[in-house]
Amino acid sequence: MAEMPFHDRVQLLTDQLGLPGVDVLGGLFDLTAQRLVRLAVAITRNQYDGEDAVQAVMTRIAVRPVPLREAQAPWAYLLRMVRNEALLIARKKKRWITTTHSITDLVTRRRVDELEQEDTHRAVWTALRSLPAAQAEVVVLKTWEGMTFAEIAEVLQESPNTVASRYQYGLQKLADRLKKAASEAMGERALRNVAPKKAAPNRGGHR
Amino acid sequence: MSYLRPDNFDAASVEAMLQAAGGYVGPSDDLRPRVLEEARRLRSGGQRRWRLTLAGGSALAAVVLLSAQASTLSQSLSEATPSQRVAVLVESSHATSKSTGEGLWALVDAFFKVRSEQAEAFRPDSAGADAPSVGESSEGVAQMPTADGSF
Repeated sequence: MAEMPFHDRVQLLTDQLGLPGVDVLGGLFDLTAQRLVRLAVAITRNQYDGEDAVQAVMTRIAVRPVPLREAQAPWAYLLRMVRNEALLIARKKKRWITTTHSITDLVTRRRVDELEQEDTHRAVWTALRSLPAAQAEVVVLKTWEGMTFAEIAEVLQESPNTVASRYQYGLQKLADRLKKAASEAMGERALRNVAPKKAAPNRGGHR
Repeated sequence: MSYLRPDNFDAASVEAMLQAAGGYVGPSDDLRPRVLEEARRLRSGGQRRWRLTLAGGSALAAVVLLSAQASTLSQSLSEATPSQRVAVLVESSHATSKSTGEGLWALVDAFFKVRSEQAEAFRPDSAGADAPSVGESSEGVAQMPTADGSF
């Protein structure tokens, strides 16, 4: 049996929001939190701020569920809510946000079979966090949410052409930064490989 | 080990790398309980606020109604002549005595009975005195309220 599409599962839950005796907030959180936090972190460039944005949106839904329940496309509406909240937080804390080359504040998860790819994942997230928020959010929605430019344009309330060009610029910057990171990593590996060879004659000299 | 290699960074491979890193970052373990607790707190706070607003509204409505009634009564009393004022008060006392089951009129009857006995006692043909007694009018009859309460 084919799995129900993600946005239909979201709609199934949001249809029950606010009904007496039904508490779907936990289920909605379980279904959407990972994606929402991912988007919010890409915009705020910070795990805590991203989580704050998601928390603020979820509690707002708990208090006033009707707008989300009555939305034509609840998943797009939820993404827009989190995006707006994340931008608000990012704007408030603008002076403290700096481009970081570390992702130590992020809560990362990796499957055992992905251990080998962790370097790549770290490089991707470091590069993504260095992008301007306007480009990062488009990259997240296009790549991870699988949305079309028209759908993204609806969420961001921009024209599809603007969204498409932001995606192209963002992808180009990511490619440049990943290339640079790969060169640096390769240089470090070369140094690590050379160092033991240089040390070998010294050890021999002590004999 | 799989390392980043600087040889292939076209759009497709960057997209593939992005795709693979999608699940790498997620929410912390304490976010879920934090969200649910905050939601519960806000919802119960909202209900409490609603109950307080309702109680406050009811109290305000009661005060407004009472003051409107008091103002109407006060206005009607101030515009009335003294006899009408007494009539209104007697009427409201009568209503009160009816509702409480006590007879104000019984008291009035008793008063009139005493006054009649006094009048009888001081009547000239019975007591031999010429002067009218205290409390009697020039006609020799105590003023009594009529049926509608006026004198």
